[in-house]
Amino acid sequence: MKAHKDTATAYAFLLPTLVIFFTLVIFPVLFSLFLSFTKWNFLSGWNGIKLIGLDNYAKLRTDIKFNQAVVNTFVYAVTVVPISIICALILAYALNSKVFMKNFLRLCFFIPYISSMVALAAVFKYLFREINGPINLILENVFRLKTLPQWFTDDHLSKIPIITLLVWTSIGYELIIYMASLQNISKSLYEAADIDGASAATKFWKITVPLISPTTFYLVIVRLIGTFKLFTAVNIMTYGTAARANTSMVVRIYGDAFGSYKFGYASAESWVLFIIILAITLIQFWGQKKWVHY
Amino acid sequence: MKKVLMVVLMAAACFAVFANGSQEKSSAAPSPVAAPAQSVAKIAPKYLEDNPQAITGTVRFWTAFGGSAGMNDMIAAFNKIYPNVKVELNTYSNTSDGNVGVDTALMAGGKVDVLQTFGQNNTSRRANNGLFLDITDKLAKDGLDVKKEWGSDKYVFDGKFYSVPMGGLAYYVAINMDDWRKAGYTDLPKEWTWDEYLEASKKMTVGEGDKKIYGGSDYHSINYFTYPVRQVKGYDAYYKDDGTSNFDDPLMLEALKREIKAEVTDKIWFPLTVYRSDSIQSQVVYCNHQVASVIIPNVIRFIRDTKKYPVTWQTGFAPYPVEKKGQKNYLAPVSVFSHAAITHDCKDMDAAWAFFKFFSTYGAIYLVPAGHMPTWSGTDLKNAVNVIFGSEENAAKLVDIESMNRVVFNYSGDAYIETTSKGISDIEKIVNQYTLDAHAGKTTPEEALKHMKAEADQAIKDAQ
Repeated sequence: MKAHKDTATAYAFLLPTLVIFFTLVIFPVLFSLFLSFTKWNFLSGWNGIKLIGLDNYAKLRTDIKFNQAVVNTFVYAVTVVPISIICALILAYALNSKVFMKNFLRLCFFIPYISSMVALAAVFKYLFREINGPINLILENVFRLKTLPQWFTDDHLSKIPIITLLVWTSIGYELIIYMASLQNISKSLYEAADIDGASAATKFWKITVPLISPTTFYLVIVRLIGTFKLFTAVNIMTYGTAARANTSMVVRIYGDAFGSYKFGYASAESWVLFIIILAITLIQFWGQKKWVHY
Repeated sequence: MKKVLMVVLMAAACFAVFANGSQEKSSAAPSPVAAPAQSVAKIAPKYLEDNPQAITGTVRFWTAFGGSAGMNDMIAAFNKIYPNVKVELNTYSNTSDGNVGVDTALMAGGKVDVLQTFGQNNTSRRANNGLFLDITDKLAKDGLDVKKEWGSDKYVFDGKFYSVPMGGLAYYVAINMDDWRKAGYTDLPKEWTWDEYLEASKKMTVGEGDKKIYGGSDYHSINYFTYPVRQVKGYDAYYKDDGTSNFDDPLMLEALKREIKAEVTDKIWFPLTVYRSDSIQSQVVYCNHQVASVIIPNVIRFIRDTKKYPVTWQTGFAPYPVEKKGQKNYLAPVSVFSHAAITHDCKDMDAAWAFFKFFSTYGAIYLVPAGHMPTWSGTDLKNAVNVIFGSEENAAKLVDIESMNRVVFNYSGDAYIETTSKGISDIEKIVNQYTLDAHAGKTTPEEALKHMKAEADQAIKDAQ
């Protein structure tokens, strides 16, 4: 009897959270799955929902712009994640030893991570401006370039400003995580290696890298998911440019939903994104057995 | 049911609403004193409600113009006649994100009473989805003939009026008169062709590198190469009469080639690719003296703001160029761009109707400081210069008043109208993509237009 009462009390305490969870998480997720099989303009209300089966998914296969956004997002993922993680590891390794103004430098690297992405994207957009942009001014006046790069309209270059911004903002967080991880490695391991005459490189590859591999695995998973959900930087930096070569999946989904009011189609795109992220995460978990040392 | 759905959607779309940082709210409190008899007497009876002082309530008015851009003055003028109506001004951003915010507010209900809505796409979408009140009977009851009052009765949905086309834009070339004279010109043209404008642009182009001043420029919006089709055809530039898209019109190709030649080959117009990649706008390059002239519909709004744009020259105005002399120019007179509407769940109907009528008629003159034009036939434009610049003396320092009166305040003749917007948001994206591709040399103008035609036809088909 008392157990039942305790359970009821527990559920009563959980109720507010459960209501919020079901209203703001479960319902939207299930509703978006339902919408992905419909054609719907939200201004028309419930009555405007028209079931169209798998048409949205069939159309996605031949949608050049969406497929381009998928490719772009993969490019961002395979560049930003390894570059930022390698840079963060190098910096963390350097800052882990006795370095002048260590705390100040650590703060400097961390500031971009806690800054507003909207503001940073606006700054980077300014840096890469074609006319009188600081980067082009340097290229023109220092490197004497005659033809200046069109950073946002040249398909070959248009991802560079975005990748640069993403790497720069990612390093701070990864650096802090790596530094914590490095400090947890027992010094006795390095002392034993010293006695055995191991070089610095050997110690790094044979001791440091394996022992921080769980951290690396965590960062790879978190960063990959974050990069696949990339929105703010691309939305700000490509605003008004009718971007195709540098747009991302989420920007495309947002445009279809809130620009063209195609909520059914955008929901189908969202589910494709979810499946991609899930698949990549599962592959990562499967692959980690071979390289992550706990 | 619709409201329940919208509460959920409100939460889901809160990013779009709250991200709209440019929203501005202000409230013009009603004057506690009775309206001056003189003000009431000036207004013809059919535009005035019986016993204005007896009308009470609150009107939530949403527009894209801020209080300082004429709306506070308009509300103050309204409150002189209707002292017991409180008008709450909410300024939204007329961008795709800003309009999502407006739509969400309209669907949620209870937030908007009178809305100024911009463009055929936004207006028809809201009217077709029942977000506006059918005002056909109310207009008829007050003896307001839409064609006679606002110049066009084409803006109907299912044969009914849900809005009135009370705001417009004048399309013209704004010219820096110092540069114009330096190039050897004296009088401003009353009619000119594209060849003549390109010739003038060439003569006014001076300097090199970051000191270069381009002689001319098209407006910063990507789709402006299609405007010559508006000028010649007079209606629905994107659509053919058979319902398909109009991108195989030879004039589309000619206009796109002309724009690319002026910008990329001859380098006498400010490049569209730079406008887009650097996120800058025509008024900025004009006021920064990076161009000597520019095709623009609203430059007055910026040059009157002497603190933000302290220009040192006088601006002259020339009409939108034509393909050949003597051709009818549908972009010479003011064309409809904005509508006023009452929302489907308006709270204080009498107050909203009184405000709607005032704003669409006598109050429309206050659109002028924002660079937009009233379309109401009774507008007294003699006072427009004072409304914009404060006095003729101030105006003369900044603009050539004669050409402004002749070109910007031009209501003579038929103006361009839009009667359909099927698949328009997709068509705009298609136009933007392929136009920039052509400008960047990734494709030829012919190929770009071929893609636009095929994809726009599909977008129209999908929308049906």
